[in-house]
This record gives sequence, C-alpha cells and structure tokens, in this order.
Amino acid sequence: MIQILMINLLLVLCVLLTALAIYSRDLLLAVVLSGAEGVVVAILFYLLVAPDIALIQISAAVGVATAFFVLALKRLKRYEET
Amino acid sequence: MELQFVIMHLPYILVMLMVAICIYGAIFKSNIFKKILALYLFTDAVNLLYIIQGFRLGEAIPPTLLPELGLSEFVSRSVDPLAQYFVVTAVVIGLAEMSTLIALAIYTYRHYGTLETKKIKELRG
Amino acid sequence: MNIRTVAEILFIASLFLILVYAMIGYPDIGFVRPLGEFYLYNSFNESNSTWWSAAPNALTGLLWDYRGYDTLYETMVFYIGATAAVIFFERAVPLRQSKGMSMIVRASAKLMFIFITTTAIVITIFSVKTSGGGFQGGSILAIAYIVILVALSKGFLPYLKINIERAHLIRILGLVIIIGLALTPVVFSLIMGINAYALQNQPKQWSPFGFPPFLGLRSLSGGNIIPLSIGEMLQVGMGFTLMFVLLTLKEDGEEK
Repeated sequence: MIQILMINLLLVLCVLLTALAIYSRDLLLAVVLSGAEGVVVAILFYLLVAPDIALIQISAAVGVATAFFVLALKRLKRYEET
Repeated sequence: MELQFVIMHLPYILVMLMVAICIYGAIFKSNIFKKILALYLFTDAVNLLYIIQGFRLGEAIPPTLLPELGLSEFVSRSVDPLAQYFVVTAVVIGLAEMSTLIALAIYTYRHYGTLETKKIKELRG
Repeated sequence: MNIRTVAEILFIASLFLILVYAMIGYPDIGFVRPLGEFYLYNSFNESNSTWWSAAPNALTGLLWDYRGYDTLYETMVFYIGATAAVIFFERAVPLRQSKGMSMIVRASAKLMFIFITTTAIVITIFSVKTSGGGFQGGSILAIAYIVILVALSKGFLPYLKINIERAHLIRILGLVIIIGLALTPVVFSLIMGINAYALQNQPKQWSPFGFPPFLGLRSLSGGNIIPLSIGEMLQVGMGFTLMFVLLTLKEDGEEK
C-alpha cells in the first residue's frame, strides 16, 4: 500500500514537469525540464523493481538525448515566436 | 468508489493524463522542435505504462535467481520479466528515431529560414 | 480567458476522459501472467534440460535465447536508423589539432574516460548473473566519449586516435560478431549432417548441437550469451558516438 502511494506522488510530479515543459516559450528551459523528467522516471523505474531499465534510462534517455537536443538547439533559434 | 479502489487504479489515470498533454502538444503547438520534444515525452510515458502493469504486490524481487533463494519462492515473489523485455529495446530505438527527426528539422530550418509551420505554409518553397 | 484557451482545455479534458474509459478493462496491478512464470521457472532449472537457458538472469535469457530473433531484427533496425542520421550530418570539414583547456581538466577527463569504459565492459560481461546487458553497456560507452568531447574542445579528437572511419569499422565488427554466432549452427549442420537451428544456445533432444553452458568453476554461464552481448555493446556504443561527433563539427559557410 505504501508502495503505490509513493508511486502516485512521483507520477504527479512527472505530470507537472511535462505540462511546464510544453507550456514554456524558451526552448532551452523545455529541454532542461525534459531531462529532469527523465530523472524522475528513472527513480520510478527503480521503485517498480526494474534495475536494468533504470540503467538504460539514466545513461541513454537523460545523458545522450539531452546532449543531442542542446547541441541541435545551437543551430536553431532559442526562443519560440508567438 | 471507495478509497482502496481509487488508489489502486490511480497510476493508470495519471499516465493517461500525461499522454493527453503530450498529444495536445504535438498537434496544437506550431514550432517543429516543440513537436519533437512532445513526441519524445510521449514514448517515455508509454514505457512507464508497461512497467506499471508488470509489478507484483507484496515483497517484490528483481527477475534474477540469486543462489540463496529456492526456486518456488523465486517464482512466487518475482516481477514479470516479459514486460521489461519490451521496454529495453523500445528505449534505444526511440533515441535513434529522435536523432533522425532532429536531422530533418535542421534541414528544414536551413532551407526555409524559419521553424513555424504557419509561416512555412505562406512561403511555399 | 479568451475562446482559444477554453477550446484547448476542452480538447485535453475530452481526450483524457476517452483514454480513462479505455483503461478500465486493463488488469489490476499486482498479478503476473502465466507466460512470465514459465520463463521464470525454466530459465536456470538444471533438471529440465529441454527448456533451460543457462542464465540466472531471466531478462538476459529472454533477450538472447527465448526471443533471440526479435533482438536480431531490432539490432538491424537500430543500425539502419543510425546510418540514416549519419548520412544527414555527413557534410563536414575534417578535424584539426588545437590546444584545448588547462592541464587539470585534461588529466581528470582522461582518468574519467578510463573508469567509464571499464564500467561499460564489466556491466556487459556480468549480465548473466546480475542486471545489465548489451544495450546498457553500449549507452555507457557512448557517455565516455561525450565526456571527452564536452570537457575538452573538439580539436582533441585526433589526439585520442578516434576518427570517423575507425568508428564505422568497430560498428561493423559488432554486427559481424552477432551474425557469425547466429549462423554457426547452420554451417555446422550442413557439414556434419545433424540437425541444428540458427541462434541455438543449448542442446535439445531433437537437435544435439549446443554451446558449453558453464565456463570454468561454474561462475559464469550462458553458452553464447556473453559474446552476443559484447557484439551488441560495440555496435550500439559506436552508433551513438558517431551521431554525436558528426553533430558537433562545423560546416563550410554555415555560421554567419
């Protein structure tokens, strides 16, 4: 019972981070927030007893994907127009 | 609708809220980079759904046979390995697909000079 | 509160209600289906020698023995996807030598590179006993090269003796290892005349070809699982590194 309560709290944090990332107009802030959301999902994978997938999430989906997005944003515009 | 029923089904409801927000972001925002970001968060949410469905209540152990466990105790306490198998390949392939989309976005910016779909509709090549 | 905000909130709410209605028939949290229990029961069961795969980690045994064909096709899909991304980035100038940052940053980056590569290799080899595997080791190997690129400047890559042709060759080497181990039983059966299937791990009653289950002192097991994981690590790691290196190179007349 306590396990499902902890999972619910972390999922609420996840939904908040997703909504903030899509709402913001500064694209660099959106990329940083999606990286933070990837860390929360990795903690959730550890609490749901899946250690192999926590390894992949931290190294690939937080490390490599955030680096790709930031480097691609250097060649595009940083602020989104209205 | 007592409290026990709502708490046991709440993880599914929250993941579906995340999916709805990501679909809205992919359709209604007009910047191409933001659409790609919303699709990436969408795949994150679907992988989470698979692992939530494969969880086991009580004392859960990972699907690895340690030497001090007996076989029958291991089968009755461990987590579903079939759900984790699909997520392992899905994460890596999702990353390769995102990088191809980013390459196409860079080409679009270099050709048209802008990344908004409303202005690209007016420019027309 | 104009009409556009109200329309957006209505769209999200209606989509959310439709999805929640679709999720009502989903099974409850906390129960494991019988097919998962079959894989857990037979993955390291020496008394059931028809259906065992010699791996105590049920997930690694699933990846390379019970569902080996799915992993083989997924490896091909990743190779094609990474090649598509590399073709788009291919117009680039060659690398030059440059001075880089101060000596403290250089020395610590080189030390971290050695540690991260050792971690990647250890996670791949011991994947039959604890958690790990080919995909995890490959992602960690890519992070080692990203640390070098981010901490030092990109002019340091000729100093580390990695250029683009060598990365392509290591990727192809990983694929050759996987396909070679997959086709070895077929070649064996054509020469000797006994029954054998492609990607076969342990001997069965109807096809007596198999890889040895225990490698010395019963500490590492798994037949052909460990070499397959090493091939997968080389291919995935170098794919990510190649995409990253080509993204950071400047092109002719691109920055104004």
